[in-house]
Amino acid sequence: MLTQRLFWYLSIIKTKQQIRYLSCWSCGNNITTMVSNLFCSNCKVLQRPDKSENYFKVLGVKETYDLDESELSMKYKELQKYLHPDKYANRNKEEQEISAQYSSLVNDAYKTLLEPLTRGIYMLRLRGKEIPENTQLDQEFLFKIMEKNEEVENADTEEEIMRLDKENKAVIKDLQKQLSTAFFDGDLKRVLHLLSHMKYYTSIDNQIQTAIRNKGIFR
Amino acid sequence: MAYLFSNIWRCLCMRNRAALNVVQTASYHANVIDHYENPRNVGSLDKKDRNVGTGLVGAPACGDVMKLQIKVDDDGKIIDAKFKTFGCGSAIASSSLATEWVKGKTVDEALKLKNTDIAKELSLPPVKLHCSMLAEDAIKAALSDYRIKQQEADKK
Repeated sequence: MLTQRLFWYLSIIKTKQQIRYLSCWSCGNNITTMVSNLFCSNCKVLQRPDKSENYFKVLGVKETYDLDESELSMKYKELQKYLHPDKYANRNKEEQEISAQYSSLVNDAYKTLLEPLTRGIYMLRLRGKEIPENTQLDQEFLFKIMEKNEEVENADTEEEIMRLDKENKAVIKDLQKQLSTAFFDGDLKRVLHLLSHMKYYTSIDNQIQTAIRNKGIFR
Repeated sequence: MAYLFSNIWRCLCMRNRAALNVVQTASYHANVIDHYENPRNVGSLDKKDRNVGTGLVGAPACGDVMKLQIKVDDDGKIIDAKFKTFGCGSAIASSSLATEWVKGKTVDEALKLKNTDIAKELSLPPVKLHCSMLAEDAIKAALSDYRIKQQEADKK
């Protein structure tokens, strides 16, 4: 008897959740009539982000490795125009919270998709894979990386640093091109290989950028 | 801000040590900072020397590279060790500590060195355990390089 009643209560809560999910959280209006799925068309209240959506969908860009960076930043700015918490200072607390949550999600999405390395790692994760944590022993490649790192460490003149920067940027650009093909072919093994190489070159890039800052080189 | 944040948590290269230790002290254990600021045994040994073993390893997940070299005398005792690491503070501290520990040990004793000992000594957090793993793998690689060299020399 008691368990039956409990079950009944649970089913009510369940349907209630479903109803809430399908309609505006504030006025109860049906979601299908909503404009652009950010706001309720009836009461104009900001809706919660859809947790099942990936970063590409959140920003409304095409899900591909070689995405248009200017389009990405345009979409990002456009979204933040509507979502930024400053816009909700006079609204109720719940809507303020949704705005903070949504706008930080959009920030994360933008930051992740903008960089070729983090974008690749994210796309790999969407396909259920990660760069492994184990130790790499490809001697020839590691030797090359070690040498490059030492070269950056020993570079003193502005000319030298800028040359290394240019060279390293070209390597990363080339890896980016190869990654794009690998993603297009669905060759995840190759993607994994290229991304781990890109990680090393991005570390070198960070080192070069700090060297540039420390030397006070202006570009 | 993003730049600051990435410098606290992400990999720091060795050459910016002086410029960045202000922000650093907030997140690393004192032992890590000690090894990071005063790394022991930085440098290189002659790779071609038949008594020198070289281990070169990398961590694809964080883009760190580590070179660890040992010099063994005729009694099988490690008399010198050097390292060079490009990576985060924990990776540098792990390899620095590893060189300190293998010095004076025999080749067989050095093989028994575990990454968990390094991690314990440096109080590494779980996300940084792979740095100590990298140091252990570097020692193993150096020892195996030394063994191979010795075997080849014996054949001749």
